[in-house]
Amino acid sequence: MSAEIRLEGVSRRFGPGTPAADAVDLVVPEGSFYGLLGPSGSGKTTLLRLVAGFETADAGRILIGGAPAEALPPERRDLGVVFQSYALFPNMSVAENVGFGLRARNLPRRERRARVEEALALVRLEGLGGRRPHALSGGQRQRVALARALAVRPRALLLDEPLSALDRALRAEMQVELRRIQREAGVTTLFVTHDQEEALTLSDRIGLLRDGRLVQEGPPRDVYRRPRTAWAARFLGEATVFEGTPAPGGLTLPDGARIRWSDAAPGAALAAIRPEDVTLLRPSDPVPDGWNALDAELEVSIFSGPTATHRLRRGDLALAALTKGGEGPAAAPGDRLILAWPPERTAPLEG
Amino acid sequence: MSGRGWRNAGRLWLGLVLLFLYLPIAVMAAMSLNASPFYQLPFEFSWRWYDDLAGNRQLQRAAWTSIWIALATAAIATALGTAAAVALHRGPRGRRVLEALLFPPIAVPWLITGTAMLVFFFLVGIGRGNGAVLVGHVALAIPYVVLVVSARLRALDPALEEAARSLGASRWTAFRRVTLPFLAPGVIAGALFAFAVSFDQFVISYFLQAPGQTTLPVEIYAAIRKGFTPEINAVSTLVIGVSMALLLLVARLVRFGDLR
Amino acid sequence: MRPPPSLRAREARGTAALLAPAYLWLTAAVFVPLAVMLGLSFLTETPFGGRDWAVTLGQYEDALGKPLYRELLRRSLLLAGEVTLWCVVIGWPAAFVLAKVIGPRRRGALFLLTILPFWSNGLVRVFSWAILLRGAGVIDWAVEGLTPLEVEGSLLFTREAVVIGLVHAYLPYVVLTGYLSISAIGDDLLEAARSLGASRWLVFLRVVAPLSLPGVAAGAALVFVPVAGAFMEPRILGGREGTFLGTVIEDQFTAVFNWPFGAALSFVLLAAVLAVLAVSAPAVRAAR
Repeated sequence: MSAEIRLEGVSRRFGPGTPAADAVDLVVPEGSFYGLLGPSGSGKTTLLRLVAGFETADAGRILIGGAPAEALPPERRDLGVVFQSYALFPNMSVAENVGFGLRARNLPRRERRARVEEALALVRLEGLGGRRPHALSGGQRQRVALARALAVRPRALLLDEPLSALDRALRAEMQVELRRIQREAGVTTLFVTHDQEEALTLSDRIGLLRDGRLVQEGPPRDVYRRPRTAWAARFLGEATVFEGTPAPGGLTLPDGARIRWSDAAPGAALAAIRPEDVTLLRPSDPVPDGWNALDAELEVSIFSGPTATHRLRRGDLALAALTKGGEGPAAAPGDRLILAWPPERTAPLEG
Repeated sequence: MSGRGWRNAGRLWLGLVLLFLYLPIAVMAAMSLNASPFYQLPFEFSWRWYDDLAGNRQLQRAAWTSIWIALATAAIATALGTAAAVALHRGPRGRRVLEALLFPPIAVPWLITGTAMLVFFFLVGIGRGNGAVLVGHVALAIPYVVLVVSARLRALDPALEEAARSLGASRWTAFRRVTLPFLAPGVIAGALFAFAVSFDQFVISYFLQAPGQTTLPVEIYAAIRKGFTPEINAVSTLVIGVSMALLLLVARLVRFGDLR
Repeated sequence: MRPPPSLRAREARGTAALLAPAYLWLTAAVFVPLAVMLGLSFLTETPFGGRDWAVTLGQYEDALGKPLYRELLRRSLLLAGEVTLWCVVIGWPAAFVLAKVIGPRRRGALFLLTILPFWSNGLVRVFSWAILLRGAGVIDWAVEGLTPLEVEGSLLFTREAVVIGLVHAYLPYVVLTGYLSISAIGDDLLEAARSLGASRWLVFLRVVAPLSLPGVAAGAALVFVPVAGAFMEPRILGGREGTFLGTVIEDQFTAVFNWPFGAALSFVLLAAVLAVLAVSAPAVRAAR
C-alpha cells in the first residue's frame, strides 16, 4: 500500500545562481519517516513540490512505488500533502475538508463518511466534523490537515515544515502525535524542515540539504555522530571544528597540539567535536588515558537551566563545552581549563 | 505649530478637498429640485423636472440603451477579465509585458482610442452603432476587471488550490470548488465595476454611436451643447446617484469578502 | 534523461487559453485600431469609396509646421501641466492626511468618500461645474449674499473654469496613488525619524516625500496624459476659451472629416506627452 519514493539525479534551476536542486539522489524507504533538513533557500521545499507534482524537474527521475511519476499531474499521484499553512478550505466544514479527496475519487457517501470518521479518530479529533476551520485552534487545524491527507490512504505523505507554526508546548505534544499517527497509518512520510530538532526527533532517516545538494543522509544518530563536512557538523547541532595537518590517527593543529580519533580516516585535515562530549577539567586534574586534551581560557559561561554552555579560547581557536547542571569545575572567566574527550567522539570530516 | 495643530490643519485640508469634490454635485442635485428653469435663486422646491423626465421618451430610450450595453459589457468583460486575471496570477512568462498591455486602454487618452476605433471599425465595415460601442466598452472594462479580480486573487493562499489537487481534484474541480467561492466577491465587484465603467462612458460612445441610437451620456452631452435644461440636471443627478451607489456596493463587496 | 515536457506544456496551454480571449479582444479593439490610425496618418485621404489616396508626410508637416497647431499643442501641454501641478499640490497632502493622520476607523470610509466622485460619471461632473460656475447662479448668489462684493460676468467659459473642471475630474487619481504609496511607508519608519530628532516638516520632506514620490509621479502621469487630450471639459466649460488640441482633433473626426490629419494630430499629441513623461522620469528618480 505504502510506496517508496525515489529521486534519481533530480535537478531544478530557477534561473542563474544556485540551483534549487542539484542532481539529488534520494530514497525514502517504504513506511519510513524521512526528514529533509536544510537552511532556508536550500531547496528542500522545491524537492517536496517536485515529488508532489507542483514543479517539474529539469533533469532526473522521480519514482513513486517504483513507477516514474514525472508525467503525472499532482491530482493523479495519489499522495497526501500537508502544507505549512495547512491550507484548509475556509468555505467547508472539517468533515467536508477531510472528505474532499474522497469526493474527488467519487467514493459513495456512506463510505466517505466512514473514512472521514476513521481519519478524524486517527488524529483524535472525533466530533469536530461540523466545525469550520476558522473556529479551530492551530493544533486542531494541523490535525485536520493531516486527517485530510490521510483519509485518501495515500501512497506516501508529504509534510512541509509540520511543526513550525506551533508554539513550544504544542510542538512537543505534536512530535509524539505525529510519530504515533505515522506508525499507525504505516505510510511512507517525507517531510522538510529547517529546524534540526524537528528533524532529529521525528525522522527514521535524515537528509541534509545545502544549496540544492544532498550533503549527507542516514539515520539521525549516525549523521549526528559522524557529520561528513564542517558545515554538516555545525548545522546539525553545535560543533567545534579543528583544522590542521593530517597525522597518523588524527591531525596536528597549527600550534602543535594533537587531535586523535578512532576511525580509519587517513589524510583528513578537519575534525569536529560536540560540546556535550567534552569534559572540563582543572589543569591539576588527571586526564584519562588516551583522551584528547586541550587547554584553553574560559571566556564566558552561559547558564540555561538543565545545562550550561562554556565558551573558551585557545589562541585563534574558539571552543565550546556543554556541562550538565552542577557538573564541572567551578571556574571564572579568565581561568585556564582543560577540555578533554575520548578519541571515539572525535568526528573526522571530509570537507 | 504643535503636533496637534498640524494634525488639525491636515484634517481641515482634507475637509476642504472633500468639499471641493462634492460641492458641484450637491449643487446640481439641489438645483434639480429647484422649480426655476433658469437656476435662479431663491430656492423653491419642486419635483417638476423629474416629472418631465418621466415623459421624456428620448432620454428614457437612451437610458435603456445605456443599461443594456452596460449589462452586456459587464457579462463579457467579467468573463474575459476573470480568466485573464487567473492566468496572470499563475505567473506565466512575459507576465510583466502582459500586465503592461492592460494600461493603454486606460492611460491613452480616450479621445485617441475612441477615434482610432471609429476609423478602424469604419474601414473594416463594422461602422458605428451599438455593436461597435459594446466592443469599445468591453475593451475599456477588461483592465478594470483584471485589476479587481487580481487584487482578490493575491489574497488567496496559493496552497489551497494545490491542496485540492494533491487530494485528487483536477485543475478545473479545484478551481470550481475552492478558488471560485473565494473569488466570488471579487468577480462580482469586477462585474459591477465593468457595468459602471460602461454606463458612465462618454468619449468612446460619442465616437462610435450611430445617430438615433444613443447612450445616455451622449444624449446628455447633446442637450448640454444645445443649452441647459433642468431636465438634464435631474437625469444627471439620477445618473450620479446610480453610479455612486454601484460603486459603494463594489467597495462593500471587496472588503467584506475578506472577513472570513 | 529529460522528463516529458507534457505537464509543463499542458499548463502553459491552459494559461494561454485563459489569456487569449481578453487579449485578442484588446488587440482587435485597441491595438490594431491604434496601429491602423498610425498608418492613416501617413495618407492623404481616407482609403474608402474609391477615393484617390497616397502616402505622404504632409499631415505631419501641417501638424508640426503650421503655427496654429504648434500653438494648440503648446496650449494643451501647458494646460495639462497646470492641472497636474494643482492635482499634486492639493492631492499629495490630502493623501498624506488620509494615510497617516486619519485614524484607522474613519480612514476606510473617508478614503471611499474621496474616491467615489472619481468613479462616477465624468460627463455629469463636468456639467455640474457648469451649473455651479454659471453667471447669476449659485456662486454669485453666495458671494453677493455673504460679502459686499458684486460679481461681474461669470466664471463659466473661461480657461480657469476648464482648469477647475479638470482638476476636479482628475484629483482623485493623485490622491489614490499617493495614498497607496504613503500607506506603504511603515509607521515605524516615521517614528524612527521622529525619535532621531527630525521635526514633522523634516520628516515629510526627507522621508515621506522621497518614498511616496514614485506613487505620486505615477498618479501625475495618469493625470497629465488624458488632460492633454481633453475635449469634453474644454467644450462644456471653456466656450470660446476652450479650444485645445483635443477639441481640434475631435473636430477632424466629427465635423471636418479630415481623418488622416486628425490621426496625425493625435500621434503628435501622444508623442509630445510621452516625451514630457520621458524627460521628467529621470528628474523624478533624481529627486529620490
